[in-house]
Amino acid sequence: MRRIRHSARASKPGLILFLLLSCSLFADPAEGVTVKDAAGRTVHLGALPKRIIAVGEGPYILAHLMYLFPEGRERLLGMEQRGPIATEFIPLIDPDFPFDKKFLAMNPGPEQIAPFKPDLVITRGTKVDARALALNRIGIPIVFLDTEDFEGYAGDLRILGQVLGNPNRAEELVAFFRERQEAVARGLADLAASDKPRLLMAMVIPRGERIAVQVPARSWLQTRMALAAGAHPVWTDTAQPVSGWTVVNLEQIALWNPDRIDLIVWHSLEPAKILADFKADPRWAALKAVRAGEIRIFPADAYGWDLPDPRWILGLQWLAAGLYPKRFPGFDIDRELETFFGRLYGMDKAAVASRIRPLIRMKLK
Amino acid sequence: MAGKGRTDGAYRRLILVLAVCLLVLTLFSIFIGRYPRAGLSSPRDVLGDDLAIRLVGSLRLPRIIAACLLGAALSAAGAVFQTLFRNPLVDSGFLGVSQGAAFGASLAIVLFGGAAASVQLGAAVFSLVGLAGSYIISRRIRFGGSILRLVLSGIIVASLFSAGTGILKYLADPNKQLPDLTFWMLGGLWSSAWPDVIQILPVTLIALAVIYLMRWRLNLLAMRDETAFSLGASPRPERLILLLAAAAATAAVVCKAGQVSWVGLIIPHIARRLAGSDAQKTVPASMLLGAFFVLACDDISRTLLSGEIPLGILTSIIGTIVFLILLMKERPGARR
Repeated sequence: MRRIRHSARASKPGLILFLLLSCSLFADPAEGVTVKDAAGRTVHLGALPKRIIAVGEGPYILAHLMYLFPEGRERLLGMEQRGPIATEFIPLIDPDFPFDKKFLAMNPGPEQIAPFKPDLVITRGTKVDARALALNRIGIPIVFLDTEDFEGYAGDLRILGQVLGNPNRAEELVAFFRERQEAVARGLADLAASDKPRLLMAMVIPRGERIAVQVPARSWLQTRMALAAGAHPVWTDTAQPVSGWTVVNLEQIALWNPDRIDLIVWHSLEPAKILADFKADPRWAALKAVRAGEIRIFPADAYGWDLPDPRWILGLQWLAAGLYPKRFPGFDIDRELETFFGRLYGMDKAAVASRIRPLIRMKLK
Repeated sequence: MAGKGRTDGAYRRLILVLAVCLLVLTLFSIFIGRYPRAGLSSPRDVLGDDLAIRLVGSLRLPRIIAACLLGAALSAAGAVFQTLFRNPLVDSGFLGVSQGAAFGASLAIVLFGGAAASVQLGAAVFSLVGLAGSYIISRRIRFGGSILRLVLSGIIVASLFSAGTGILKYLADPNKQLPDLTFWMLGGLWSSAWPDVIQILPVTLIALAVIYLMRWRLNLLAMRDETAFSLGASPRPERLILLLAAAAATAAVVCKAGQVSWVGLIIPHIARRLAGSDAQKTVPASMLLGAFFVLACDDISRTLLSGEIPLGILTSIIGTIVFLILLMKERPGARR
């Protein structure tokens, strides 16, 4: 009896240890996640968020990023809506959208976000803003995603992978983007600076009955894309301010006299008509690029391929292959289109052909 | 004497009514918002919800205080400017004070990264520059009456600072600086928190106290210098003190709330309609009415929609409608 009691006492710590180990093995590994966001903040979430709201500029970009993950589709509770339609793309891949989501009007503050009781708010940017501070004060976590930077994109995907509890999918996506970026970089490896064409990427936007031509900011994705595609972006030549889209006049464009012009056409304008108008305009016809036939419309489907939307990888490949067709002889934009929408959004070839292809209103080749 | 007593009695009742209305609205504002219910929530709803308690404690309360300070400061400043310049068409916006403050704050954001102290200092300095500029230019214009000269110079200075702010927006980094600058253009209190209230409280309260305590001098200072001097006032230094107080109060609130227009112009007029044109009565009435008005507008701006409505839009729309109604209801004849 004494021996049995002694063994029972001695085995108690062992039993407790065993129970603790067992608990740790069966514990939910998804409890809590800590991410470092694009604003350099360390954000700790007590549990994986199930209710995520996207706010800020270009909220559809965040929604498109969320939909790269199967969990994102379920856990995106809602988003800010900055126009009559939240996004023209997601209904093509999610028949329940927008009916199963909630929408906030433009510029929601913490008062307007609180009713949704989100576990997490995601937004774009690299600087902590007043909204983030206010949300933190009431205990609603917010995570910033960069999206304007190629390297930052991988980081953004990994952040989403962490908060959605699917880091494997994040790595899959990172690998997808990285493969294509590296393919472009390899194709341009020995390119001399003097061989780079002078490129003008300009947005054509309606202003009343007229149109304005705008160039992007130096720090934006469009500029980085032009550089990565082996071009010399002419708008960075002159002492341009770093501000957003900047209107430029024909005089300035004539001064730049680019070798090639890619026009990003506003969605309400007809790309074919814009291109024809530019070619027929005697003022534009005097430019080197127009005389040489090197004026094209930058591709877009539901959204432009120049935007910090996941589509930018299509834009980069299209641009590089267009500038240097001999360096990318095997590049097939149609095949790449199918791969992009197939691997990223689960669309089969037929769906891409019937839903995405009709939205592309410009020549891709 | 009996007439004076009735007038004073009516004024005291007016102030009491305004104060009670402000107090009631302040209390209601705690329970007005989008959460936990859109509109008015019950105390039980709020106190029974952790998020609601945090929202009220951390954001709604400081916002309510900031709204009251904003309204009181802009209205008091408007009353001072209108009286001293003998011009019913001026307020801090028309004299370039608000635009100067916005420019100064924007400059601080672009040059110094938007540190709170630099923003406040920049706003204060350039609000005074705006005021001084309007006054100096008006003295040098050689045509038109004093009212026209002041309005013209105010437009010039305000436009210059607005253009300056536009240039700063143009030059600002779109990712790091432009969002802060854009905030000024909208005007609003949605980001107000306790640190903001603590930052503006000392300057605003001191400035309002100065204006309140010197309100009876405004009647004298509105006269010609010789007349005011003969009645015992030191017009130039006293005028300067009041102008500095008005500009300081404006700068303090503008650097947190951005540009909120029409309050300083319309509220003193409404206060004069209700309390008479004696500055002793108009100034306190303006402060209370301004606080009430901006608080009411801010309650609407954060409650009506699922996005914030810029405060300046509401103050303009509601303020002008109320003002129009009052003007059209005014009976002809002299007021005692």
